[in-house]
Amino acid sequence: MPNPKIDRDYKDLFLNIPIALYRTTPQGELIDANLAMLSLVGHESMDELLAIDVDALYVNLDDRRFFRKKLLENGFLSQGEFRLFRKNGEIIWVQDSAYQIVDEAGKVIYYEGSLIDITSRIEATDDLRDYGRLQEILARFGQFALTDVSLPDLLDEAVHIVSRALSVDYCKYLQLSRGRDHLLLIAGVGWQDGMVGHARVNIGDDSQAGYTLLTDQPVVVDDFSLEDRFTEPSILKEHHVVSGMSVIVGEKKSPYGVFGVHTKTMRRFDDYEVNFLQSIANTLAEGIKQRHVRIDLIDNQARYQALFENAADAIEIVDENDNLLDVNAHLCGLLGYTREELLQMNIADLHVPELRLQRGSIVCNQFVRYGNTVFETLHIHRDGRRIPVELSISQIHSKGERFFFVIVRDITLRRNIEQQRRESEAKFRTLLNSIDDIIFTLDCDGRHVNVFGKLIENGSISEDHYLGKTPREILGEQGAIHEIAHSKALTGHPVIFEWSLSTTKGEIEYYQTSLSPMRDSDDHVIGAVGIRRNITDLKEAQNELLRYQDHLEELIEQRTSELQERIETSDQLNRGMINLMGDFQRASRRASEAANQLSIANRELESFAYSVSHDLRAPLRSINGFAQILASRHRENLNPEGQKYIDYVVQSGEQMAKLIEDLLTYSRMGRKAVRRAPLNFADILGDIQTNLHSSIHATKAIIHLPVAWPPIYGDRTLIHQIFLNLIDNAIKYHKPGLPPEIWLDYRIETEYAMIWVRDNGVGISPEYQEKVFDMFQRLHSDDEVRGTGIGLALVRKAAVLMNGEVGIDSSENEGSTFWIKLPLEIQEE
Amino acid sequence: MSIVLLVEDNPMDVALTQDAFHLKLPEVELRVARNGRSALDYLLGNDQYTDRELHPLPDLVLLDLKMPGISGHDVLREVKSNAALKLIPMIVLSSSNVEKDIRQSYALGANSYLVKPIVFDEFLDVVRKIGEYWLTINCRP
Repeated sequence: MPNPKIDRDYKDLFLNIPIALYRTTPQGELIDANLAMLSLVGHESMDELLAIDVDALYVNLDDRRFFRKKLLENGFLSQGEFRLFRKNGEIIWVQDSAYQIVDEAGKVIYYEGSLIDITSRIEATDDLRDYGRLQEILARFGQFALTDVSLPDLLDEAVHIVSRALSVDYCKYLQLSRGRDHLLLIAGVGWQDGMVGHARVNIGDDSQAGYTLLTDQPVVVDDFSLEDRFTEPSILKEHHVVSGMSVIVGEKKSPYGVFGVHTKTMRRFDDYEVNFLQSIANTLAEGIKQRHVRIDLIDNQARYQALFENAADAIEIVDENDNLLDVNAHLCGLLGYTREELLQMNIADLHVPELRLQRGSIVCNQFVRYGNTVFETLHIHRDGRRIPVELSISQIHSKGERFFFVIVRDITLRRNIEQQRRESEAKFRTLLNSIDDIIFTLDCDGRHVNVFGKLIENGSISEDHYLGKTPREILGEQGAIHEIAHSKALTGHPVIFEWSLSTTKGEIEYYQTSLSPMRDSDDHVIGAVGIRRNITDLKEAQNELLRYQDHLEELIEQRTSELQERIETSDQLNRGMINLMGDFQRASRRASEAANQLSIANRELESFAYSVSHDLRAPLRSINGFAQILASRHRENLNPEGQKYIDYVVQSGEQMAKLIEDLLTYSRMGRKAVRRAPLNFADILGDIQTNLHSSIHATKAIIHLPVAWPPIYGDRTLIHQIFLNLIDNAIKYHKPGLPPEIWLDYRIETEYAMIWVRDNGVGISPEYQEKVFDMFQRLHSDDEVRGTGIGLALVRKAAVLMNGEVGIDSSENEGSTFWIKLPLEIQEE
Repeated sequence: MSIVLLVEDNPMDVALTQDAFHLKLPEVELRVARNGRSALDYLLGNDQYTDRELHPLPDLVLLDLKMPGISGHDVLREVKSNAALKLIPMIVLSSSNVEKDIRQSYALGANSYLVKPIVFDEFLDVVRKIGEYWLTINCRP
């Protein structure tokens, strides 16, 4: 029995629920609808709505057929999506869920359903689909940009695809001029004929493009007539442009240009479209950059090659570790190596051995640490010849790495000339300064420029007394005669004159001066050179001669012999000086030759040791190999004695292998440049413990490490060798029956760090302590401990290479303490 | 069955390598070229090596460096500049551990550089590892 109250409540609910509800007959009559339904389809009154034909609501009648079919088959429809017409002709998307209501006989009475407006969702999906299309276009353009298509073609493609993708009337790419004072339309779509390639646009806020360059953001214009950020350029007015957007191509601080689109009708570009345009512009920027780089690369490479090979100097390019990365033919010629050989080498290999040992990264150090861009050093020719060179360094940064461009100039000639000049000047001075006379030069103004002589040399007369002064300034009235002579000499004529001077003691001294013109290489007179001789004795002799006519002969003889004696003494002195100088030169030449020979001999010895030990490896490998095969697989063919002997062969072979490895390490050490870098001791000690794992394990050795390590610069390989050998030693020479225990510790002094390696082993008695660092010094027989006698020699060599020292404190049976002293800082050279 | 070409002039090293392969890689066929010239002839299929059925290209070349005449480096240079051969892994097996030799080998395209150990047990281990890595783990074209 229907309850009228419930029925009315239901009716109210039906009418007011905010979901569109309806009932229709299968024939398409609307029986009932609620207010939400009314507003969904946009009709004004319920009567009007109920009067319409339901089929007429459907945009596509197939949807209606589908609706009926579903209800017929299943009795319901779940979330069908259809398009309906609203009253004003607008189309909306709805989601329809419906049931059919049947009577007891199973006949359909009506359909009952609800509609939800899903227009906005569908539109969003459409947008999404559009966005996907733009993404696809973008991706394809990105790939296109990666091909080796030319820049004009790339730009052309960009404007075409963008104009199509966004359905705009105009698309443009404006290139910023080199002077950055205007923009040029170099690619475009839709513009009047003849504009692309010629039309110019101002920068600044005179145009949209110009304004775009001033801002970081894409510039979107809905309507140019309302724009107030910049003025609309005439070119856009002429094209009846209403809307548009533009973006920067490239980085704001160095843009390549502006990319933009325009429409003749009003258009609001949404975020997707703005992003799309910006993405195209970014791809374009990348493409332009790549092409620029490509052109630069070709240019640079050609330029670089030409410069490099044709330069008058030897040139090398090195990395931070001084490895040679490139060299030109001049360098090969200078040093006597082929290019291929040099490219395997390090700057250190080019240096003479004494410099090689001292420096870390030579070029980098000089440049970075000492700020030297030009310095002189000694290179070594392949044939051992030493070549003084001047290195001029500049640094290059490329791809995050630093390289050095080094010009190597042979300065042998310069050195020789300098040397000769110094030698001849020294010789000249020595000679002049041993002469009794005073020798001087005057410039054209009559001022003293140089003054030499024994009196100057022994300090009787001060050089300053003469230099820069005229004879008149020095001699007063007596200078007058000098002036006359000087002006005569300047005309090219030598002059000799005598003059006298009263000394402070009131005695008169007589002088003879000869003044000759001094000429330059063009034979122009540039001054005068003079010799002043004290002739007082001669004058006195003459005077005496006059005064004592009667003692004439006697006197003359006496004076003459006195004079002669003096001259002889002076001559002898000169000769002695010259001989002495010759001796000295010979001696120093011999010394330098000897030093040279010694260094060559040393080098030869080292390379001999190296090649011997290296070449020994091959036969030893055969001996070891076959002995081992015999000892394992042919053992049963040997009698017990044979078995014992073959075991000896295997053992000795292995011992010899170790010996050779150590020898090689020793002779190789120092062949490479010693590098100085901050050391990670923890890491190095970790490696060493791994190296020695089996012997540590076998002897149950305990190693105590300090908590922290000193901040030392050094060569990792060398430090590794030092500690490897010291710890290995400490393990080897442990007391029988007592597991080795090793303590490492350090102390920092002002300029160096002391590091100790202490053990509880057998110790070394004092008389041997001096010797343990020598090569092949072994204090134990093979039966006791297997050692090669090279380990501690290696330790010392490694320490010395790093400007350090090693030593030992020990007494027999008390354990040993080895110490290593290493400089904290790189030593200045 | 993999084929390895050993290029080695020292007869004793040849014998040791054969022995080691026999022990550690019995399934590998070891062919030997006794100098650089015959290594190149074999690889290029010259003269008596024309028949690839009889003389197939190896899966791996073990190359000594120091050989009279055509050196290991020469062989490397030739092989790595030949389009038909350059994909064959070239492993230098040399007694030299001089930096220069190593750098030059890699510069010429060597795929690996191994120093011949002096102690035979270690050499056996090297041979085993060559088989394990280059013939088993490593993917070849």
